[in-house]
Amino acid sequence: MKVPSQNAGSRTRLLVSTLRGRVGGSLFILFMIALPCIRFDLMKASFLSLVLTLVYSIMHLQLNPAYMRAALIEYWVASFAWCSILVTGCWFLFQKKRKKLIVEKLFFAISPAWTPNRSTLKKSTFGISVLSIFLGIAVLGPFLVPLDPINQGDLETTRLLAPMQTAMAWEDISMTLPTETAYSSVEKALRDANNFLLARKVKYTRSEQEKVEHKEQGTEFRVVFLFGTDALGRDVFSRVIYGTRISLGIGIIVATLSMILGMGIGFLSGIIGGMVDKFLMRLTDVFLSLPALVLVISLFSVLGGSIEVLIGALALSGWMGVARLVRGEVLKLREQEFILAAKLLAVSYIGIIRTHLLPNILPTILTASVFQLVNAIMGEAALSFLGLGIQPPTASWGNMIGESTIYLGSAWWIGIFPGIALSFFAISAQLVAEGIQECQK
Amino acid sequence: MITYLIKRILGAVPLLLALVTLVFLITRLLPGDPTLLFISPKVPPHVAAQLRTEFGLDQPMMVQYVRWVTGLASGNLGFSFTHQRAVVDVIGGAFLNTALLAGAAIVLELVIGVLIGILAARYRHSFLERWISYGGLVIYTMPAFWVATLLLLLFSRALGILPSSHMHSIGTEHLNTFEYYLDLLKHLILPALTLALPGAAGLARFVHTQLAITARQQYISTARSFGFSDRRILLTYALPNALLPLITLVGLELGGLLSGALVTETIFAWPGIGRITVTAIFARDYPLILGCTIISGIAIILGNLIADVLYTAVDPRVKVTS
Repeated sequence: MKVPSQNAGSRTRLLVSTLRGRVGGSLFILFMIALPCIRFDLMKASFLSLVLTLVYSIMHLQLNPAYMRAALIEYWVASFAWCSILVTGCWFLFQKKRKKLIVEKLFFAISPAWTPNRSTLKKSTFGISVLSIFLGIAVLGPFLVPLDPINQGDLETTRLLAPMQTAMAWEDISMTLPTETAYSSVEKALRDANNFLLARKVKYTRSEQEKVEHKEQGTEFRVVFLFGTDALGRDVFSRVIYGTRISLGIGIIVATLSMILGMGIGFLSGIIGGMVDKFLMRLTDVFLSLPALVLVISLFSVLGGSIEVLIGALALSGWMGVARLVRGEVLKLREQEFILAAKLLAVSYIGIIRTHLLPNILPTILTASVFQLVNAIMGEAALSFLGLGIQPPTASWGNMIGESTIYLGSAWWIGIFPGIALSFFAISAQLVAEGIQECQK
Repeated sequence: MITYLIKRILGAVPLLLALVTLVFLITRLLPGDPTLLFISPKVPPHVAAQLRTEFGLDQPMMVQYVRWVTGLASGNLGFSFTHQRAVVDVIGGAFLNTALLAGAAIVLELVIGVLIGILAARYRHSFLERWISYGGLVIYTMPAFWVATLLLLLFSRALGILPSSHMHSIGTEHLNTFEYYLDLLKHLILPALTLALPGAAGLARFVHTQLAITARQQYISTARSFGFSDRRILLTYALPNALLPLITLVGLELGGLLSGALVTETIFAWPGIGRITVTAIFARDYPLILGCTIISGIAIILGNLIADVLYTAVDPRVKVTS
């Protein structure tokens, strides 16, 4: 199929954009190959653990409960994600006719009517790239962090270290799995891999005696704190990466929930109309005039501080805009002739929604969901900042900034880095949303 | 016009009632006993029971609800557990502080936003416009607590010229009037800036695009063909038309600000509605939570109303249909 493009334009520009795609692609592949080179042991153990667990569960037709730990599952997800990202990335990059940017293709796949101009394309490409980098950081987190993010350091040696400072450490192997007898070779290898993954906690050498001891054993190594450490001696770099996981995860779940809720209510009230519409819209008004934070804080303080309540409360306070938007779009579309034609042809309600309504409101929904994502992440961050959201020691961008306020004068690095991450995320999401909006004009 | 106003205000009453009911249900249906928070465990049980009776907490919920709503109709919002004062008094004092903060924030926001927007529109397709729009995007997407942290880091810690929290310094009662207000102003700047900056960035973007749209109108071309100067075209023809939709925006914003900036007021320990709301929620002070919700609901509805009324007053093309 020939794709009509308004901006096919001059040859040089095409060349430049293709080249830029190649540069980005090469950087991507370089990173994907460099990662296992730098962290060879870790990734080898992680892949071994994943594969052997699969082999084990197929052989015994059951899962070994001793190996079902959150810490291990994280590694499995990360290794699976690494493989799938590599495969998809290469598939994208080595397609034969690649005269269009990936983002352009993406837009075309969403709606053929979208013909972004150059500046829109630039914006969206930047936004989508940064967002996917964040997503990559989130899923590959366990491979990227140099240290365990909730591993407390030593208050004497590693408290409030500035960025790029170092400390001597040795690996703590107290977290090993229970030893069993009668291992098969597969089980033995699996146990070794899992033990390696679980023993990633480090301890910092304090006394001279310890230093000598570990130097003799050869277990001592130097740790660099890229972004410094916080008041409990935890590595800020690792915490920012794990904060990305938490913030993005909660943001995506909350955005999905509130989109479903808002779209459901919007569709119901737009299609059914009448009393249902009136009731639902008054309900929306009530929720709109209730300040979001009041709802969230009251639910949160009364039901207690768990992640489920946080997600529920944020979703409950975010759906109103979507509901109004979807209702408005549905009302507008209902009067169109093609809907009337479909009705005359006796197409069912479901059929009309699927083939006529949904594709037409897809751009609106997409823009709204990007804004929902940003709002959810900001809401989570604001609550965590106030100490109501994610509870320590789990890291999230918000509670890291919150913790940093006490040390504003002495240690600027605790709050700056998660703040920069938050800003970058919000800016790129804003750019993506603007790009989608401009496409529709 | 007056019938329209009355209609709008009456129309808001059921909305407010529904809002109050919702908050009432949220705070009461869920577990948690407020008496545990302000009665120490050492207090003998019969005293605690007596206190519960005094605050009406032993009654069935329906009775509490009806009593509260009838009290509301006569302007009685109940008695705050934690402050040991009538809710109206607590909120009344805080509302003035919030209004001061909101007013300062709105003024700052308007001045900064409109000026930068005009600047960006005046120097179109230039270096300046590009950097204004980039910077605007960065500031616009910043959450309040992050702006506050950065401002504190810069002005309060690095430069050390502005105080970091509270409304007054210690011992201001000994100062003379001028010094007293200077001290207040110093404390006001940072929270007001925190509230104003993201809004101002949004406003600048808005004014910028709005002016760009207006510049393509025919009356601008006509004015230009008369040979009027750029400044005159901008000030007398373009700006008033471009700024019209701004009224709606500012009205909505004012409503939001008057209902109390929870995060900003908490960070700067500003004794306003927002901070009182947060502390009331933490302390399960039900009457105070309900009172604050009512106030914020009223503020938001009032903000919408002001926006609509001002718009019709300024733009003669829009007629009120009552």
